[in-house]
Amino acid sequence: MDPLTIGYLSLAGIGIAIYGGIHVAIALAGVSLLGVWAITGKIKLALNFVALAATDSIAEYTFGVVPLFVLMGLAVSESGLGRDTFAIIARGMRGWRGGLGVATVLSNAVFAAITGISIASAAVFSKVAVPEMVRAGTARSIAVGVVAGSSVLGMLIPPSLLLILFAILTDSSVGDLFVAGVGPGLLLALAYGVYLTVLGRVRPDLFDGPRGTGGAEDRTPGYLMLPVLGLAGLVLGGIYTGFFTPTEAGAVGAAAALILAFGMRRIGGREAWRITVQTGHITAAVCFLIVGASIYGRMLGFSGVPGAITQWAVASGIGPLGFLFAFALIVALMGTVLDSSSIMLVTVPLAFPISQELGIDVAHFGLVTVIAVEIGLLTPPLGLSVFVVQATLRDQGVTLGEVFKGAAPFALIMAAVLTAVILFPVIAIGLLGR
Amino acid sequence: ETIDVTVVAGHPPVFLWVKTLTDAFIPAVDAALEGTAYDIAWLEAYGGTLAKVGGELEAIEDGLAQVGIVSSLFEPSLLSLQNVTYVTPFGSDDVDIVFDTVDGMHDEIPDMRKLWADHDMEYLGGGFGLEDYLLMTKFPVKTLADLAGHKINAPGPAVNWLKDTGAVGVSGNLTTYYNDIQTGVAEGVIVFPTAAAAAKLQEVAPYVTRTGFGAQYAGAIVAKKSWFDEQPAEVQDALQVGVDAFAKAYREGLEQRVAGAFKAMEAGGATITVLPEEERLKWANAIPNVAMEWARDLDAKGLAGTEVVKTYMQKLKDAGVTVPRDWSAE
Amino acid sequence: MSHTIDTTPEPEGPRPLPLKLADGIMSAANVAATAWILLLMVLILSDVIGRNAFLHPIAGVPEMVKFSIVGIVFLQVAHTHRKGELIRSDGILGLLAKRRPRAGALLDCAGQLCGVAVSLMLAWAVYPKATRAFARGEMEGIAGHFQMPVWPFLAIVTGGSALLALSFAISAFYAGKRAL
Ligand code: NA
Ligand code: NA
Repeated sequence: MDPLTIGYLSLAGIGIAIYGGIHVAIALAGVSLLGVWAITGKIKLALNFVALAATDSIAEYTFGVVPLFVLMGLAVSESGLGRDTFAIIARGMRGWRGGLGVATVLSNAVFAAITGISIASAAVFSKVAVPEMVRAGTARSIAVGVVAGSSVLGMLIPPSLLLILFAILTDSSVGDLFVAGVGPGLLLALAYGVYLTVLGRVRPDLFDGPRGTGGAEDRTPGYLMLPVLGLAGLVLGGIYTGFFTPTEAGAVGAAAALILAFGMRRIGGREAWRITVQTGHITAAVCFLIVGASIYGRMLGFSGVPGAITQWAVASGIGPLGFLFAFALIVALMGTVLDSSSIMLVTVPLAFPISQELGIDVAHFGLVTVIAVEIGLLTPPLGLSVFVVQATLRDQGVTLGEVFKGAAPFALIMAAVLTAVILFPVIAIGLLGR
Repeated sequence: ETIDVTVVAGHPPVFLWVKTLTDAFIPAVDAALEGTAYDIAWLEAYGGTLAKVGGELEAIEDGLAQVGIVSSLFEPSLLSLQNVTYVTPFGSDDVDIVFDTVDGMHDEIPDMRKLWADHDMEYLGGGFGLEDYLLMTKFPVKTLADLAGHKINAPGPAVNWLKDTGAVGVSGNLTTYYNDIQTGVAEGVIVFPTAAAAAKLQEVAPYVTRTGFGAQYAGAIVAKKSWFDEQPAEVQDALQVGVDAFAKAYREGLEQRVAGAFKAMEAGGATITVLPEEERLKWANAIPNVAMEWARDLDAKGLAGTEVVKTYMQKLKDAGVTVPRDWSAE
Repeated sequence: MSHTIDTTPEPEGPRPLPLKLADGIMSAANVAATAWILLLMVLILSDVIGRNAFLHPIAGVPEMVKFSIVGIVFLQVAHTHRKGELIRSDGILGLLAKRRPRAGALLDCAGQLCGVAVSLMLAWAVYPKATRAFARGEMEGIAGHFQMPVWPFLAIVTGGSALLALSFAISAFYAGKRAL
């Protein structure tokens, strides 16, 4: 059988294996092994292939700080500081159905300026914002959807791991890409806000569910917002004064959150240890999945599928606009089964030269790529942001299906914003003066 | 007969040495095979689709690729001797001299070939590398003393070039320089011009000081030895022809890109100055003798460390290069 | 309200010694990884403070962070699976478990057995890399600045994958029992 056929068959295999209940990372690694074996006819080669990808795919400084961002989020939530903050915001938002969701989106936009990875945002806000939204009467599927959906802002608003990766792949300016990410990031946040507000009008029942007992929002004194504001100020200030880098911010933020929680006697040593264990479990679950997805990404590249699809798209003789739409569609489809970095590794080097021939601005192409890639964080069967939200809220009985369903409208909004960015490059590169 | 060959490179095709594989190496091999009974079906696996930067050696050794660009720069322990230029800074700014010298040393010093052979690699040559490294800062640098107390980003082995200079070496890489400097985590960077221009570093570090750290050898084209030995002579010869074409095309391309880079930096508002010779001398003599430390360490492992440093320095001098410090003389 | 399916509903009460032993090893690895996360935090903090306050960054932090994540993930992955937190799709499995419990258990068992196979394969594939890196003294980092050996991380990947296989095997065993 020729490699291409094996590549296409493997796509079907992944789908069946994942829906059949095989652990996702196992399905990806297993299918990859079989795929490379089938292509080369040599099991030894297939083993070496998997081993190389397994050991070098997450060995990156930027992945190294993932657990620290998760730890910061868990510390803020476990100490009740996040709850206080959202209770106070909820009190101020009582007249605005969906207002608390909008507050979550905005908080995410601010947090996005700290972190370069979407899964960090997803981990932090599932613990902090979802319980509060539910307590205030928001349907849980909306609450988890908001968190999964707005986690993608982490990759659009600088700093952004994916924009850095794009810059490496195209040898272009990270600075330009970061500036170009601001417009689409803000547009997406705005679109989410409008959607939630309109939904609040049309379907008030989704926001007026049974309220939690206690009515924390009535009794929490306003000054309890200060710790979280202080933490955000410390981390943002540290980054923008050059005291530490955005990747180092995870360590500073985690330490500061733990010290705050200790100092306010919200948690003790035992709880601190427990949340660190939980941090490790979330990190292991997500990173192990990224390992699996990278192995599969490489196998797919090896089979020649991405190359064939790209060639087909080019051969169809479409102009710049058609090319961007076709490319975005291909990338978004790959996003159903691959992780973000892998998609970019197998598509950008093929498509970038073509985009240049067609006269497409590098930064514009970069943002189109990243937004399209990020849609995949929300789509089944493999949606990393959704997985993180579910992994964090598993103990409250949240299922994967529920989060995917909740995130679907946000994925559609992303697609709409993507269309806007393709049609109106100025959204991305306007700030660059191009 | 059609032979399947996978070519691996950890960097993506926008990098000149990878682009030159596609544009010069492969066509030259194909052309050389014309009229023979053989042809090659190429699978080009670049930019992390098979191996990341630093994983190329493993990919070839484990049989995942037959030919590839291996960056010795990223294999400091397995291809130690090949990193000689990075421990002997302030060498020559002439890429031809540097690449040819290290390439040629492979024929004179058996240990250098042995390191490749140890990993089942046939060294085909076509040594490639990077142009003369320089310094870019937020502040003007006229003397070595101007560096005191400033945090400077440096890639890999270049952190050693800042030792005992008064500057603080901060490890970094191409993707973080711009932001690190913009925010103040670092106040300057040691970098090569083509990368600096692509990343637009002049926007945040407009003072470009040509310190003359020297051009650097960074790797070569290799084939999996056990595979190479099985190939018919025609194919072996064709690969060699391809490597020679690669070496020529890479250097021509590099020259053009470097010229373009300086133009772009200048147009982007950079102030380009040359570090005065006496300050360069001061700098070269301020840092500890990293070359001999490195060489003795390798000697202890039974490798020709000292010989490599001595030979390299001698060959630079033979080529007419005036070095501010002879690392091997201490 | 829907529930995630419990992937490892194992019987309460006294457990056979081999299982206790396996639990012990996985818990120990979990403790090591948890401590590692806290150390990583302290390490980066010290580097930030050292660089800014004393103009003295700590050599090798990027290399250590880069490899730490590999260590942490593979030390903790078995325990993560043991606690039912390794990511899998629960749609069809959950539905089946509710309507046809034995068929559900059978499908679960099959999935866990795939886990055994793939994680054993992973351990098998990485093991020679670990011994090779040890034998030839492969190092990460820069000579004269900071260097550390690579083999311990590859050894952790090997050991962690083997532990994961063990955890899958335990789950497969109990799922199999439920199916019978
Ligand atoms: Na961000
Ligand atoms: Na997806």
